[in-house]
Amino acid sequence: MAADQQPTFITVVDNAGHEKRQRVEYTVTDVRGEVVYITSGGLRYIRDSLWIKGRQRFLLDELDRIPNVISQPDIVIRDPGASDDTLIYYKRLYIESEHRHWLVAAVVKVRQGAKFLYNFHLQESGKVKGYHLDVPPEIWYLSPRQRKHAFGL
Amino acid sequence: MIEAIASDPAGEDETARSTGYADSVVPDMLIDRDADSLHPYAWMCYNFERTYPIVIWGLKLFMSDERFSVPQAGLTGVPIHVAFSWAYHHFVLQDGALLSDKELSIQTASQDYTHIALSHALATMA
Repeated sequence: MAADQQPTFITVVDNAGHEKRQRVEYTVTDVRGEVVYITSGGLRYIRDSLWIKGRQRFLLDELDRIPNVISQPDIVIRDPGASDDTLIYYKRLYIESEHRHWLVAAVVKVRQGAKFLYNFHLQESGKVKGYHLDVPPEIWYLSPRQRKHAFGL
Repeated sequence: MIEAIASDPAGEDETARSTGYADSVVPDMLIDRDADSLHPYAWMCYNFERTYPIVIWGLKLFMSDERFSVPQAGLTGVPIHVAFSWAYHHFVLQDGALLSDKELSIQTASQDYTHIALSHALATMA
């Protein structure tokens, strides 16, 4: 895992194709050695979203574990709705304040070859996105210590 | 990506807990529920810019029984598919400058947002 301070800016292309210049807060090397940019805009959205979702607010205290989720995930799938440009990194974390484990998801979009963190949220235990589909999502990475059926696949 | 979060007008219950986001009957749509009541309170699509036609249609078919207000849009007591249609109209069509001046000048009734969004899908699919 590498979470380097990198005070620089990068141009992010959003879903509508607009270019947005964003400050890079830090980068993380993911489980396959690819760089994921964590931008100020991405983190701002995650903080705002978790705060408004009062039931997930305790995750605000776990944001410093995002690098660990991306670099040492339990499983990574291609989003069944956008398998070409969206990866979802899942990891089961013990949340001290909750006295229990939670499955968390880090959503990473790929834009013009660059990977950006888009969201970070709680996921229902044992059920990754698209687990129930007739054609299950493609597994991009599975930890040697994990079994895919533990995630509904 | 779009994420919609319902707030309780009566105030927030500090003890409320989440089930975590999970799949729903609508493709691309994840729903988070209150852990005790299992009542939905948050909806999210990672790929709304692509999946909006099926999401809006799915919400209309399967989740039209509840009413929501969207203060930012001036909408009160509308089904959730109207709220998502407004979001597409506002954040994609308007912000993306995909509407003509004539279309922008038309006062849109709440029920028309779904018509506009789905019409746009049909028009751009061809």
